[in-house]
Amino acid sequence: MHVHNPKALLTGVMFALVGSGFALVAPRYSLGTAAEMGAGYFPAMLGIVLTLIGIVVAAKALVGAQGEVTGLPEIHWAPTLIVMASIVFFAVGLRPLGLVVTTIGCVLIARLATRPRLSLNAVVTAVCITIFTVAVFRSGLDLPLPIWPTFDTR
Amino acid sequence: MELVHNLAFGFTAALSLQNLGWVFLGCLVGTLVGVLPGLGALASIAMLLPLTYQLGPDAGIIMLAGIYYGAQYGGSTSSILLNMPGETSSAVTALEGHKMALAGRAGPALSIAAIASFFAGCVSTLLLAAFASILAVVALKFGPAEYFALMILGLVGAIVLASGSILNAFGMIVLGLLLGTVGTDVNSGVARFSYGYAPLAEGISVVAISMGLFGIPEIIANLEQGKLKVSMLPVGKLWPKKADLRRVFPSILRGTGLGALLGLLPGGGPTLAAFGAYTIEKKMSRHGHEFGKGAMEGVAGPEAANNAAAQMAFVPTLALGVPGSATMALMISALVIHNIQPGPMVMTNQPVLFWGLIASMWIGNAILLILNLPLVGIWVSMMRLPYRYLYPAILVFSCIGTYSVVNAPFDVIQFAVCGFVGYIFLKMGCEPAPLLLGFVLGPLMEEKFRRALLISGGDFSVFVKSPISIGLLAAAAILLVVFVLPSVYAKREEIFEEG
Repeated sequence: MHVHNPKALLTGVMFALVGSGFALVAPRYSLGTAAEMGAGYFPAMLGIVLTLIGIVVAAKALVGAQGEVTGLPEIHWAPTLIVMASIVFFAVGLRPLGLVVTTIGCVLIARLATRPRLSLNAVVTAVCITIFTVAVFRSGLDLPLPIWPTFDTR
Repeated sequence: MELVHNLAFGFTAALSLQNLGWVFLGCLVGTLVGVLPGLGALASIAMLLPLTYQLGPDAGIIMLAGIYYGAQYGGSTSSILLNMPGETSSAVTALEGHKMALAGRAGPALSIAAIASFFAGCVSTLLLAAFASILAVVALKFGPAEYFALMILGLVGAIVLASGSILNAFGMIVLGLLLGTVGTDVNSGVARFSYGYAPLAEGISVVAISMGLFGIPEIIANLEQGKLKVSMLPVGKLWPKKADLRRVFPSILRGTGLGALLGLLPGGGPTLAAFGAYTIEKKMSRHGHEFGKGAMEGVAGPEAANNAAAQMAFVPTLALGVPGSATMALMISALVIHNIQPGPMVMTNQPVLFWGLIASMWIGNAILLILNLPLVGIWVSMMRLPYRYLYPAILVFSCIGTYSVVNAPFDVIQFAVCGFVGYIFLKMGCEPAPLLLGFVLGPLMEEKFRRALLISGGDFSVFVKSPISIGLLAAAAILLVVFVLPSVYAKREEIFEEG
C-alpha cells in the first residue's frame, strides 16, 4: 500500500492519539452534565472532536485523496538538538549560575550549530551578547535576574 | 459631536511630553524588533511587560501598543530586502516586495509599504474610536452565548483564511483549545492534566508556546539550510512615482477595509489580514498578471491590511476583553495588573487610558512614517549582521522573555519543548497559527460555553436564541460554506501554492 501523503497520515495519527489521550483522561475530572459542567466536560468533548478529525485526515491520506504527494518529513537532528540544548542550559542554569555564565554558555552551545568546535569568534560573540544582555535587561529594565552564580537551586 | 470631543481629550493626554516619549520609544523598539527576523513583537512585549508595572497603565499600554504596530512597519523592511519576514504578518509582503527589490525597486517597495501602512493606521485609528464606542454599547447586550458565537466566528475565519488544508487547520485549532485546558480550571478550581506537577497548574505559558512554535522552527530551519550570510540588495531611490501611488491607491483602500474587518474578529489579526489582502489583490487588481514578479499591489494591500488589523485588534480586546491573539492576551494582562478589567465599562471608567491610547496610535503612525523612510539606511546596516551573530542573541532574548513573565525556569523548559514540537509541526506541514489562536481563546470559550449552558439549564438552543448570536453563527456558516465549496477551494490552493 503506497501512501501518497505520509505527512498527512502522520498528522492524522497525531491528532487521533492526542485527542483520544485527552478524551480518556478527562473523565477523571468529573464530566458533569451540560447544565452543570464538570472540569472534564469541555476537554472530553474537544478530545472526541480531535480524534474524529485525526481519523478523517489519516483516512484521506491512506485513500490518496487531495492528490497531494509529499515525502516523509526530513528532520535535521543536529541543529534541532543543539538549539534545544542551548535553551535547556539557560533554563537550568539561570538561577544557580547567574545571567553571565548562563548567557555565555547558551551562546556557545548555540554556536555549535554553525561550527562544531569552539572558536574565538564564538567566544567574542558570547561575551558581547552577555554584556548587552546584562546592560539592557538587568541594569536598564531592572528585571530580577541573578547576574553572578549563587548556586541557588530553588 | 462626542467623538470629536473624546478625541480632543485623548490628544491632550497623548501629547504630554512623557506620553510622547513612551510612544516614540515603543515605535522605535517595535520597528527594531520588526526589522530583525526572529525577535518579534510578542517576545519584546513579554520582556517589557514588567516595565509597565512601574510606568502605570496609560504610559505602559501606549508603549506596548507602539511596539505592536511598530513591528508591523518594521517587519516589511526585512521582508522586502532580505526575503526574511521580521514578523509573521509581513511574510506576504516578501512575496512581491522581495521580487521588486531584486528588480532594483527596493526603494519604491519600502515607501509604498510605509505609505500604505500609514494610511491604514490613520483610518483605522478613526474607525477604532468610532467602533469602540458602538461596540461598548452593543457589548452590554453580549451574553455568554453571544461571546461564544463571536469566538466561533473568529476561529472559522482563521480556518478558512489559513493557507493549507482546512481540515488540518481545524485540527490544530482543536489541539490548541485542548492545550488551553491544561492547568487550573477557573470555574471549578480543579487542576487539569497537570498530574500533580505544581508549575503546570498555571497552565502552559503563552509566551513559551508562541515563541516556541514560531521562533524556534524558523531558527532551526535557517540553520539546517546553512543560511549564514545575509546578502544585501541596494535600496535605490525611495520615493515612488506619482503614477505608482495612484495605481496602488485602490489596493490600499481594499487592504485597509479588509484589515479593519478582520482585526475586529478575535482570531483575525494582522497575519490573516495580510494573506487575505494578497488573495484579494491578486484577483481584483488590474495588474494581477504581475503577481509573482513584483506587483506593487501585492505590497500595498497586505501592508495596509496588517496595520489596520493590528490596530483594530484593540477593539475586541478593550471593549469586550476578548484577546484576538497571544499579543493581545499580554496587553490584557498588562491592564489587569493595574486592576483594569477590559470590557464595555473600560471606556467610561478609564477615559484617559482609552482615548489617550487612540490618540497616541495616530501619533505613533506619524512617527513610524518618519522613522521608516529616512532612517531605512540604519535599519539596512543592522540587517547586514551575519546570521551567526543574530540567532544566538535571539535565543538568549527569547529565553529571558519567556523566563521573566513569572520568573519561572520551567517556562523556559516549556519553550524548549514547544520549540521541538513546533519544528516537528513545520516538517509535517501543520500550521501553528490556528493552534495558538485556539490556545489563547480556549479558556474564555469554555467559560462562556459553560455559563451559557448553566443559565439555560443545559439547553443548547441558547446559542441560536438572540439575533446577535444567530447573526454571528450564520456569518461563520457562510464563511465555511463559501470556502469549502470545491471551486473556491481549488483557487485557494492555487494561490497559496506560490506562497
